[in-house]
Amino acid sequence: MTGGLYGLIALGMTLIFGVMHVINFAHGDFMMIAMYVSFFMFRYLGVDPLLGIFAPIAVMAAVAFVVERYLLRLSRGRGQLILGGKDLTGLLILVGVSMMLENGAQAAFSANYLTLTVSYSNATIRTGGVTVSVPYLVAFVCAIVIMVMLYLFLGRTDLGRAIRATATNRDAASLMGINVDRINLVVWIIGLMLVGTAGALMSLVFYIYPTVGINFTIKAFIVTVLGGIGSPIGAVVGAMILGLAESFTAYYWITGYTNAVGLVIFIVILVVRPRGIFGRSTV
Amino acid sequence: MEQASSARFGFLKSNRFRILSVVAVVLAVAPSFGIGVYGEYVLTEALVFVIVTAAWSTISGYTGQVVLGPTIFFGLGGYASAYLAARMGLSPWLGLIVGPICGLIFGLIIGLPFFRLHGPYFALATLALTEVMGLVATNEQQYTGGSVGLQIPFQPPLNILGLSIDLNSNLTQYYIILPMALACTYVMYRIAMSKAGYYFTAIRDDEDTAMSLGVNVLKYKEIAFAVCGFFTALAGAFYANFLFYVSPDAFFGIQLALIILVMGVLGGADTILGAWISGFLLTLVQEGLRVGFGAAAAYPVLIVGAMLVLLLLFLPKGIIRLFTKKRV
Repeated sequence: MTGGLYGLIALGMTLIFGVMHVINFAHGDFMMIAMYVSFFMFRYLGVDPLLGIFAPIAVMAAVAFVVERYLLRLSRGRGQLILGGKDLTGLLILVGVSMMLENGAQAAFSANYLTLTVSYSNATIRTGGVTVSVPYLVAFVCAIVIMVMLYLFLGRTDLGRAIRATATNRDAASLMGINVDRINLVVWIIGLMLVGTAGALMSLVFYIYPTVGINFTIKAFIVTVLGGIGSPIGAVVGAMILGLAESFTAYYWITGYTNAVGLVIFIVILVVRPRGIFGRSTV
Repeated sequence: MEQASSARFGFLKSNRFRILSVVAVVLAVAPSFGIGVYGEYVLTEALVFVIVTAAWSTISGYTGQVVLGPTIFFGLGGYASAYLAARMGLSPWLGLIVGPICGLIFGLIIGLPFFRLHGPYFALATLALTEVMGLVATNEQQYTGGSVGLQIPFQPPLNILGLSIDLNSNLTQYYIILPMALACTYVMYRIAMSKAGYYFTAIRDDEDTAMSLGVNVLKYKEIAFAVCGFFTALAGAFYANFLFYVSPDAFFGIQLALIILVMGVLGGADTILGAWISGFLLTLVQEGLRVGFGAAAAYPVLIVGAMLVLLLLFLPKGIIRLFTKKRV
């Protein structure tokens, strides 16, 4: 069932990656911030993370605005650090942001593991021999709902079509009168709002600590590549596959290798089928 | 003939060579001016990272295949060294020979599948691989010592021509790494300036055009990756001897990989000699901050991250581009 959480995280990444062609290396670290927001809301204001889910989402939207508007836009289009035919400035800036967030959080909140315990943290539902944890179930349902909403949004609305047009061809979209800068900003804000949602749910079931993010960045990226870049359905299906693969590894083999199995899948899929399960464009 | 020899020895007459010789001489006499054991320690560390950064530049800056996980080779070299000492009872210094060979072969092998990938995909695949290797090092305890890693026992002093050389002392190690770093940068510099080096740049600037002009793209990518693997593993093998232990965190950790990345960009990604600027600058900054804030504090990496962001926004070509526009 961890697949639901991975799906939520990966939806944001697949969107940002698909449109901006920037790998959000700080994805998990943004989620870490959202987790801390949820935690402090709960500890000091007594707000339940699910009811107060708007707080981390709002914070993430603000973060997205700052990162896009004041860091990435500055670097875009200068063509300063093009390596292997791709402009990697964005990726490397986000690497820097990730280092800053991780260590900033460590300095501000200390490296201690925090847990947020609510009445239903450990609640389970038993149906037909299968036991399902309530927070995971909530995450799973959220992931499916958001996936459908995102799918409809991208396919049926004007803004969604503009986003897809930008993803397909930035210059042509710009010539057709689409404000590409604005699309970038919108995509970042939606992407990080999804991260905020994931962070709030994650804070219910996971330890909260400064370096929690990097693992999830990698997982989100694995899922994105597995499912096909820019495909919301791919993100959720890929997340399910990763979640299942990890559970099976932990169950039948060694717990220590649960994180490795995703990476191996990742390397294999990149080499064998780089466009992913649902992807159209080639790498 | 005249021209050929001036091209071959041109480097020896250039300003770069003069500057580097001055640096080398200053570094060679530095220990006799009372920089202390800590000073030697910091300079040794800086020189290790000079080699790693130059190797990173060969594949990432020159050939354009950005490696986010150079620790693949760094850890491989380090573990090779430690394995020889801790599990086979040989001298860990043999690792300086075995490690680089492992790095070179491993680079050639993983290059075959990995070079089917481009740009960010290749970059992240290398990061994924270094994660996997870290996990293997953590889990295969009988070979790697698990998350604690392997200890390298103290070595008996060497007797050469009646001189007793203590390989465990910081000073000896410093005088091993200094010529090593000079030699390594010289070799990598020569590779970058050779015909192969120009093929590297051609692949970086436009792979398809390079291929259409008859450059064997895969071959030269493999060569660049093998060079990176060789020298990074060499530095890793030395570093294991220097720390007297290896552990998954210290050798395969993401933090280390990212710091190498910052060093690569800081000096100038597409320069070999820029490694001398960034290796020293970043090591000194980090050590300085560690002294200021305490060893466990998060501020050093926080500031390094901020440096990376500012650098990419305002000086993406690296510090060395403030001084020269040439291939260096």
